Amino acid sequence: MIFRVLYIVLTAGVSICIDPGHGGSSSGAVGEYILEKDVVLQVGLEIQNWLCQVPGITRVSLTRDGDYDVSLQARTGYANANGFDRLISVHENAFDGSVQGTETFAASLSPGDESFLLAALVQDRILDAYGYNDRGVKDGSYLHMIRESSMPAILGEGSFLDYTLNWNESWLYAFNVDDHTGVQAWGYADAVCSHFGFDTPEYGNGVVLMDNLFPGFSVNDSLEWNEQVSGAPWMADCMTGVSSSSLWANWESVVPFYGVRTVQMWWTSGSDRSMSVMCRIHHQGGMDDVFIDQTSAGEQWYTLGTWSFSEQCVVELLGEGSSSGVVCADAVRLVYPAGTDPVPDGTFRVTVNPASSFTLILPGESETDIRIFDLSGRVVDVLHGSGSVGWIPEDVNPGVFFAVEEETGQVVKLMVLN
Amino acid sequence: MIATLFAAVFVITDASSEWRVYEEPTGQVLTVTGSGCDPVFSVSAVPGERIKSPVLLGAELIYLSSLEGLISVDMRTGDTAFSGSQTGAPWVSSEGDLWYTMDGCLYRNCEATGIQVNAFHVCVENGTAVFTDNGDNLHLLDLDTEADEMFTGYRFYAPEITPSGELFSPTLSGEIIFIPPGGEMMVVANGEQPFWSGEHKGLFYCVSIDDGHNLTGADIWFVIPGEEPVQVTSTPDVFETKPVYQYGTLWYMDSATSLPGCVRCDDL
Repeated sequence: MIFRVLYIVLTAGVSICIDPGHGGSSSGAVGEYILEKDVVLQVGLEIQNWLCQVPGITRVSLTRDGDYDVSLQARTGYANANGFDRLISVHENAFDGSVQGTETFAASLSPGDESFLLAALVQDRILDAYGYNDRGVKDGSYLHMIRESSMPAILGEGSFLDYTLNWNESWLYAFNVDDHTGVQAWGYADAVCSHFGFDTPEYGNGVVLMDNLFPGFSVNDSLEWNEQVSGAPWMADCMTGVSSSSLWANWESVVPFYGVRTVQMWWTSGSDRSMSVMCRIHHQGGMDDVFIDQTSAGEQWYTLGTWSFSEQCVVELLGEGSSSGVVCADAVRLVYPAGTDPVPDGTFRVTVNPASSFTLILPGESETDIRIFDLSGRVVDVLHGSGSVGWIPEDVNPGVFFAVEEETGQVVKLMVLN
Repeated sequence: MIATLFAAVFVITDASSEWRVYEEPTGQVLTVTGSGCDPVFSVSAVPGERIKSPVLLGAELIYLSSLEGLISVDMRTGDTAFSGSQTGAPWVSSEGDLWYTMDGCLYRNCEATGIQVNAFHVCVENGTAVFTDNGDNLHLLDLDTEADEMFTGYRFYAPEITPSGELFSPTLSGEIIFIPPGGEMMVVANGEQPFWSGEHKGLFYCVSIDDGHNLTGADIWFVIPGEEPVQVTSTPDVFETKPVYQYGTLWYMDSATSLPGCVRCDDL
C-alpha cells in the first residue's frame, strides 16, 4: 500500500492542454506584419517552455504545434480524451484597427468556478504585461473550445492584433519588441502557477527546456524507442532504446534565444544504461561532440558544455554500434552559465550618449545591417557595421524607435527625447 | 444473488448500469444496490453516490466512485483498502486479473505496470486495450500477454477497438486511422468522432467546418475501409455531430446552436 501511494504521489501531477487558436488555412486575426495563427503558436510554445519548468506540472501538450489545420472538434476531442486538468485556448483579437484591450473568456462566470478563477488570474497577468484596456472576464459559453471541453477551460484574447491607432500592435509581435510575445506567455504561465499554488519560474531566467514530448524532438525510428515513465519532473516521461549505430534522438529548440548558454542533459537511471553515448551540439560556431556515460549521473542535470547560440540550439544523441546498453533520451535544457551576467555576450545591446546619439553593440564580429523602425513599423534609417554602430536620430520626431539587428533578429528599444 | 453478509438489503429496479448507495434506516450501514438479481453489499460510501463498474475479486468489491476514484472494500471487514483520483476502466480479464487506470498509469491487480496511458479503451470480448501515450502514439495492448504494439506517425486521441479486433482512432490533423486485425494502418477518411458499425463493417463519422471559434457546419459520413466515403446527412441548418448507429437508427447531436446540442435520430 505504501509503495502504491508513493507511486501515485510521484506520478500524479497537473496536466495542461495549450490550444493555440487557428492555424493552416485559418489565419485568424490579420495584422499588417503578422497573423494571429503565428502569434498564438509562439505564445503557446513559450507557455509550454515556462510550465514544463514547474515540478508540479507533469504534462503540457499543445493541440497544434505547427502551422496546419486542426478542427475545433478535434481540439476538444483531444483535450477530453486525455483528461487534462486545464485547457487554455490562446487567441488574439481584431476589430477595425482602433480598439486595444485584453479580455478573457470562461464558460462560467460563477466566482467559485475553477474556469472563472483561472480566467480572472489570466486577465490580471496579461493586463500587468501590457497595460492595455481591461475589457474584463466575459461569459464565453458560446465559444466551442470552452463550452465543449470537459475540464475547466479559458480562452484568452491578449491584445488586438490589428490595432494601428497609436502604434502598430502586429509589428510589436513580428519583431518581438520588448519580448512582446514572451511577456504574454509568462503571464499565462504565472496565472496557471498561481491557480495551482506553484512557484512560477522567474521571468527572464533564460532557461530553454527541450523535452522528448516537445515539438522539435524526433528519433530515427519510433519502433526502436520505448516510451517510459521517468518519474522526473520533466514531463514524467522519457524514451529508451538499445544502442546501435542507427539509433539517434534529436532535440531542436522551438523558443528563439540568443547568446551564451550552458547545455545540460537529463536521463533516467537504470542498470542497463549505455556507457558511451555521443552528444552532438550544434551551436553558432559549428558543432561539437561530447561523450557521456549514462550508467551514472542519472536523475540530475548533467552539463555538456557552454556555447554561443543564435536563435536555435540542436542537440543530437547518437548510439554506437560498438557500445552496448540502453540509451535514454529525456530532456535537454539551456541555462545561463553559472556566475555570469544574465545579459551575456551575444545579445544586441544599446548605450546612450548624452549628446543624443546611440551606440548599438552588435552580437557578432561580422558586418551586419541594423534597421531603425518607428512605432508604426516604418523604416526610418538603415545602419551598417560591425562591433558597434552609432545612430544619431536626425530628421525624426521625438518618440520610441526600435533597432533590429538583421543577422539575429534581435531588437532593442530607443527613446528619442526633445 | 443476495449477499448474506449483511442484515439489511435493498434491491431496486434501476435501468442504469450504475449502482446507487442508500442509507439504511439506522443511519449506520450503507448498502450498494443494483437492478434485478445483481448482488447487494454493504460498503463504506456516501449516500446518494453513483457507483460505476463494480467488480468482485474474491472477498473484495472494487468499484469506481464518482467522488473518490477507485475503491476497494474488504467484504469481510468492510474496510476501504485504497482510493485514487482519475480512476477509470476497471475490468477483469479472463485470467482473473483486475485492470484499471489511475492517474494516467495502467494498473494490474492494484500494482502499477509502469505503462502511462491516456484515452484508455478496453474491449471486453477480445481481452485487448487501446490507449495513447503522452507522446500521442497509439498502443494496442494484449491484456493477457501484455504484448504492446505501438503505432506512430500521427497524433492519435480517443482510440477504440471493436469486439472483432478492428482498431480505429481520430487524429489531431483530421485523419481517421483504421487498422484491421493483423493488418496495416490506413487512412480511411478525414473527420472526427468515428463510430464503428459492426452491422455495416464501417465507420460513421462527423465532418465539421468551423471559423476558429465555433462550428459553421457539420454532417455525418460513412466509410467502409478501403472504399470511398459516402455522405449520410446534408442539412445546412443542422450540425450533426457525435454519430452513433444502432439497430437501423442513426443518433447524433445537433450542435447548430450554442446551447447544449440535442439528440436527433433518423431511421436509415
